[in-house]
Parts: sequence; structure tokens; C-alpha cells
Amino acid sequence: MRARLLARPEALADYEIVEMLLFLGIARRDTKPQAKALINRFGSLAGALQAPPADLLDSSLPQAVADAFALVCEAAGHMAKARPRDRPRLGDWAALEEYLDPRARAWQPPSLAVLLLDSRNQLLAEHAWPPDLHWPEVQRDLLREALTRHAGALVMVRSGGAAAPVLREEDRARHEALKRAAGTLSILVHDWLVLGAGDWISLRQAGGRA
Amino acid sequence: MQEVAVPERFEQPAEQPRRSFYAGPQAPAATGFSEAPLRGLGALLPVEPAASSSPSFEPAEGRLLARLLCTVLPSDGRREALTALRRFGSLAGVLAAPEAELRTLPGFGTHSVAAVKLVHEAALRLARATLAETPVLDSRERLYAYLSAVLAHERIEQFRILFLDEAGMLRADEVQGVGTVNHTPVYPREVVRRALELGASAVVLVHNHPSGDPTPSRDDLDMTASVQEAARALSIIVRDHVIVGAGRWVSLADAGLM
Repeated sequence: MRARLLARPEALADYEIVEMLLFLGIARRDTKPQAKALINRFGSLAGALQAPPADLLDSSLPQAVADAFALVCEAAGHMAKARPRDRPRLGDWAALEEYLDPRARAWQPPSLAVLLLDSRNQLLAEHAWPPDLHWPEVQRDLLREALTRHAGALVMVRSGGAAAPVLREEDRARHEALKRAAGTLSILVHDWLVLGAGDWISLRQAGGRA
Repeated sequence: MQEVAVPERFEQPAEQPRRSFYAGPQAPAATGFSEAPLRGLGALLPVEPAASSSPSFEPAEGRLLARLLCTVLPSDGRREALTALRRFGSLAGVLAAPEAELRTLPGFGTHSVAAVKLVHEAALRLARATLAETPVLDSRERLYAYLSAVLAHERIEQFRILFLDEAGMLRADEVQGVGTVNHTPVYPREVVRRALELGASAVVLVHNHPSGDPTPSRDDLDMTASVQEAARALSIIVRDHVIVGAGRWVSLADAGLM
């Protein structure tokens, strides 16, 4: 039943949801009869969840079960107020600069990172790799993450180490390859940035076509 | 149905002087990103974007999650709860998080993930039952609270239908389609067919804009009209089309766009 819960929770019957909630409060054994009895007594899953704790204890259920039901009710209250997190919008250089500033300031190991953005240039997630890995594999991995995250655009950031940033031919070549591949997936590559020693270079500003 | 036709372009001001972030000797201080361990391919540690302000979750959310986790973990669940809340921003975010992402957190093996998913599903059903107690369109606040619970943390566009009976009470709430991030296919015929199957005399269309901006697009309006036309042929009324954004909602009926 746990496998079904993880695969398709909406397909579970109400009494199965109660069964599993009972597991949280009772040492594991067959809770199906109790689950069905609860639904019968209180009319529905919602009825059981909102039943007064005294009534639950009447049914010779432990306090832990009343606690589990109360927890679900409280969770529903929080979910009703749910707001998605604010994500930084990185659609212009000022925003990118502000976002990348902490990592430009402090030393860190060299890395190549992708900032995955949604269709409004809000940051969805970042992933990073050691910069000397075989590029085609990094690109494939990167695009897979972009698709998984439903990204519409991305920014590459090569950073770390102590040296001042320099745009290498390798950056340009990788940028071109990435743009081609990402374009086939309807993903925009906004820029390729190199950070280092408190400074940064943008390939887009340096003359790379976007 | 498209939220935006193409991803937003990157703004490029005419003159952008290159600024140095910092002029001075580097200090080897740790930053959020240098903390992320770099591993080989296939073992990446995805970094959730750090909230620029203080954590957005209340202590009550932390206590609740800890109480849940301690039923399945040998610990009191507090550290695991805190890590999860920082990662997903709120209790609702944790409850709605994909299984694969939950599993990357310490303390989140099968039992913890199952407990979270169970509470999520149970709470959704409770929320739905609450909505079904009174006519759906009687209280905007109640409807939007329900839709927030269901859709606030969906990352892709999802199209749902609330099927109503003659009294305007909720008969069913079903996902009709799930799309790529900017486009969800909707088939008017399928909406009407399902309404007939359920004996619904009216429907409320719902979809979310994962970007958070609920402004309806041209396609949203056209699609609504198509469904209305199809529904009219069988005397089914499309009462509203609600677009759910981030803490904001647009009702096409209220806005006079239907």
C-alpha cells in the first residue's frame, strides 16, 4: 500500500488513508477493520479526521492516533495559506550581479554551474560540476536537469579559483554547442559568465551572440 | 493554452559598464555555494535558491513537521524538519515536494517520505471535503484557500475542473490535463463528456500559472470560450475560470472576460 501511496495517492480509498494514519499511532498490524469502523462511525474521512479526541479515545484508540488526525487538520490549515516561495528574478545583469556577488567575493573551488530559470527568469535551481569534466556529458546532464525542472532559460557561470576571469576559447565553443542543443529544447541560453578575483566577464557583453 | 509564448528575453541595457563586485584581497570565507560539495556526474547536489529574506516558515510549521517525522524516525525529528523546511520554504512546500527531492534530504528514507505524502493526501481530501460543504462559488476566500492548497506548489501548468451539481455544490474535482511549462492541452469535448458522466450541471475551470502571475493569456480566453461553446450544446454552464498564481488569483467571470 505504501508503494501505491507514493505512486498514485489519489487512487487510495478513504479507508486506506485512515489505515495508514493509524499506522502512525499504533504499532503495525492490520488496522483495516478499525479504519473501516472509524469511517462508518464518523461518516467519512473528513468526519474521522475532525472527530473530537475524546470520541476517538472512546473507540479504544491511543492518543497517538488522535494526535495524527489533529496533525492532518493542522497541515490542511497551513496548506490553505500556501504561497510559493519568492524566487530571485535574474532577467537582467543587475539582478545576476547581486545574486552572484557573494560567490565572487569569497574564494571557492573552481566550478561550472548552471542557473535554471523559468519562463519569467525566476531562478528554479542551480547545479554545479567540477569544471574539467568532459563537456558533452556535462551538457547532457545539464539539459536533463533543465527539462526535469521545467526551465525555459539558463545562465552558465564558471567561477572559483584565485585568478582574474578570462574568457577562453573553450567557453565560447561550449556556449555555442549549448545554445544549439538547448535551442532544440526551447530553452534559451541567456549568457555565459566567468567569475574570479572579485570580477566577472559576460560572454554576451564581450561580443558573443545571445 | 499558453502562459507566455516564449521565455522572457534577457534585458540588455544599451550601455552596461562592467563593475567589479569587490576590490580587495579575497577572504577565504565560506559562502552558501562553496558549501555545496562538488561531486562527479550523477551525484549532483542541487541547490535550492536561498531565500533573500529570512525563512518564510513559522515555528508552528517546524513543530508540526517534527511531530510527524518523530513518529517514523528514532530522533525527535527537529533537525530533519528544519532541513526540509529550509529546502522547500514552508510546510506546504515540503508536503507537496516530489518524492525524489525529499529523498535527497537527511532522514528522508521511505518511511519519512511516505509519512509526508500520506499527510499531504489526507489534508487535501480534508480540504476538498470542507469545500464541498457549501456551494463552491459562495465564498471566494474558501475557494481560493482550497485552490492554494492544491496548486500553490505545482511547478508545471495543471488544468483542473470543479464539477458542480444544480445547487452549486462540489461533486468532483479532477485534473483534466497537465502540460509543459507553458502549454497545457485542453479538450472541450472531454470536459463536457466527464461532466455528463458525473451528472454535473455546471463546471468551474481552474488552472495555475507556475510563474506566479495569474494574468490570463489570449489562449486562456480562447480556450474558455471553446469549452463554454461545447458545454452549451449540452446545457452545461461554465460558471467561471479561475487562474491561480502566487498568492493572487484571477476570476475570468469577475473580470468580465467570459
